[in-house]
Amino acid sequence: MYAHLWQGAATTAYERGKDYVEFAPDRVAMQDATAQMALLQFMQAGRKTVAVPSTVHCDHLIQAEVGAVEDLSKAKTQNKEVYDFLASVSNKYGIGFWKPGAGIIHQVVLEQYAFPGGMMIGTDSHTVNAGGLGIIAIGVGGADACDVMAGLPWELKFPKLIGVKLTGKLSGWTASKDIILKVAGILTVKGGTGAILEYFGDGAKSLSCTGKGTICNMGAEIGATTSIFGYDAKMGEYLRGTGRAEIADGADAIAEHLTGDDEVYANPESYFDQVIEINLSELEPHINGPFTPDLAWPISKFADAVKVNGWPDQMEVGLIGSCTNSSYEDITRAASIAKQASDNNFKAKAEFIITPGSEQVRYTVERMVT
Amino acid sequence: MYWTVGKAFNRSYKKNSIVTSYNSNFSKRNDGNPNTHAFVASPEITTALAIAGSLSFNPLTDYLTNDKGEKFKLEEPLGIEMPVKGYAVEDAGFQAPAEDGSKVEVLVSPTSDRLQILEPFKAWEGTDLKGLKLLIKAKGKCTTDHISMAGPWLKFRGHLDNISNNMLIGALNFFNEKTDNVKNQLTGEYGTVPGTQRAYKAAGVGSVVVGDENYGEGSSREHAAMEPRFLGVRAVLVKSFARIHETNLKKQGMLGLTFADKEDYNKIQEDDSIDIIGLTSFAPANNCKWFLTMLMEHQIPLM
Repeated sequence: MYAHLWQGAATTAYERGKDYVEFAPDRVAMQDATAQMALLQFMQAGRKTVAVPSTVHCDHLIQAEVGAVEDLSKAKTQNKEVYDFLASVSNKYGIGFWKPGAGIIHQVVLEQYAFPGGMMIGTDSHTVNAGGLGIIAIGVGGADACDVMAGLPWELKFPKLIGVKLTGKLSGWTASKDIILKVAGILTVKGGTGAILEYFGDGAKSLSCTGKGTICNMGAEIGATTSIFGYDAKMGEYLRGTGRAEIADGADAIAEHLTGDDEVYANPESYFDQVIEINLSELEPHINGPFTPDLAWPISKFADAVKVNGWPDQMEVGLIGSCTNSSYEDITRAASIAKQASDNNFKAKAEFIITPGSEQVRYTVERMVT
Repeated sequence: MYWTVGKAFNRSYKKNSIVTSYNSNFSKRNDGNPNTHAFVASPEITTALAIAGSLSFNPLTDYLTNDKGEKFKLEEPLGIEMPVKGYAVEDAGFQAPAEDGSKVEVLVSPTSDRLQILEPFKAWEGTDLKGLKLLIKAKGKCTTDHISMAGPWLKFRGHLDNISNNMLIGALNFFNEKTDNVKNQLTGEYGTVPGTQRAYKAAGVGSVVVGDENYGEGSSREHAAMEPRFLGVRAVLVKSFARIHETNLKKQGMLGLTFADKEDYNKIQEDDSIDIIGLTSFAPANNCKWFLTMLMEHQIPLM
């Protein structure tokens, strides 16, 4: 946070949870709903281009109803004037424009724009997804986006810090998702309010970059300002795999500055406002709900909970994807389960819907199976 | 991320269960059905449960039986972190901006009901404000959703004139305990809040919105601050503001004022004409009691 102050180098220590501080974000990302008024206002700022690199992502106005092709075509017809406006205003003011169908804003940001050590704002609560690549990414309203694009400082109450120490290693059925489902159960839907969750420890280093993104994404469900992992080898791999070797090289060169100091992680209680520890080797898969994401059930206890609470046991539909869990890794893990059912001539009992996070993931997955 | 699933299932509003690997499972989130029990799990657990079609299936311990009566257990999931041949895409769907955008025309139809190019708001006339009418004295909780309702109104979020027809329609009128029903002081008749305000605007009369504690809490929606400015409200006077809304009001050039003594909220009457005095000597130095207003015969100090 101190590396992103509007004033430049820090001259004072701020009180967490109390002081309002001005920052200078490096990027702005907007979804198509909130971008409209933000850009209509920006047009009045009298600038030739935006002050910081910015992008518009057409995803929120698409209603998932029938299937990818039909839904997209319907959205393009219904929202034509909005898309035409966003495309032209982006073209005029130096803003990258992602057309409807290109993917979900947070997945595209992770694939294309997030970088370790940066700070960005986005006009959606799940902007925090990008923390999986070691960037401070915070969800804001359209007015804040407009200010930053116009070259004004961005104000935030200096956040508290919650440390999440991950030991051990995931195995078997347990996934990154289960870490945040567990954390949500511990902190509840309000427990992260006004705080940044920082994940660290050997367990953190073993998680894939997109898995880290999933954990950061769902930090929004517990009210966290954002969540973040320090830069590590998995992030470097992901940057190289998504065509950003230069950024990976740059990050490797200053890697020690892109993560917490050893003494902080050795004595987290002295530096964080709260510390949670989770042993990944002992972590069970979790199922959270119903109606709230902080009701966390380890799978070994879930069948009893279903019975005791009288929840409908028959499952109507399973949905995977959306901005939380639609990486290549997620889809291959789910596919490996589906394939076993198919190999054993077992037909799925519930309806099953997949929403890949981006055109890049969709195309890459389709290429794999054809 | 609001990824509605809608019509694919659950048109009947019956009690049912679904599992997703999404992030949120609040009631009605995925399909608008309050009886849908939505659970969140990893993609692999979601897939396993969908295959079994049962919430109480535990893939770590339980077996499945196919139509031929053959029993089998699902093995642990195997994932590929990064595609072996790398990521690929034919058309990622990206449009890079023009090198020189000065000649690019922004496409907004003047007849659109969803988009409207903004005009700069009228600047302050440089004098104290006199003869403002009370538009509404909002009672109790007044969030940004009471000020600028969401739902069907969101389709007008790019059209300030149209979305302004939702201004304060959710706020409770202190004097008659009704929503979207206020007295037009020029005619003595009761009407909608936006309608009444448009009548004041047409008559060239400014107005004041009075509110309770934590006025404007909720979302950071800027429309809640733009609409009163657009329709000619001159000041929002409250016991206390939600911080983000106060900032948003000031960014739109609205006077966001608080009572120096919160009890003075009770002195505001339905037929009040309000003068805001002291604007010309407004300065950061005298940071308390910047303004005095006269409400009928009362003088109320403000901060």
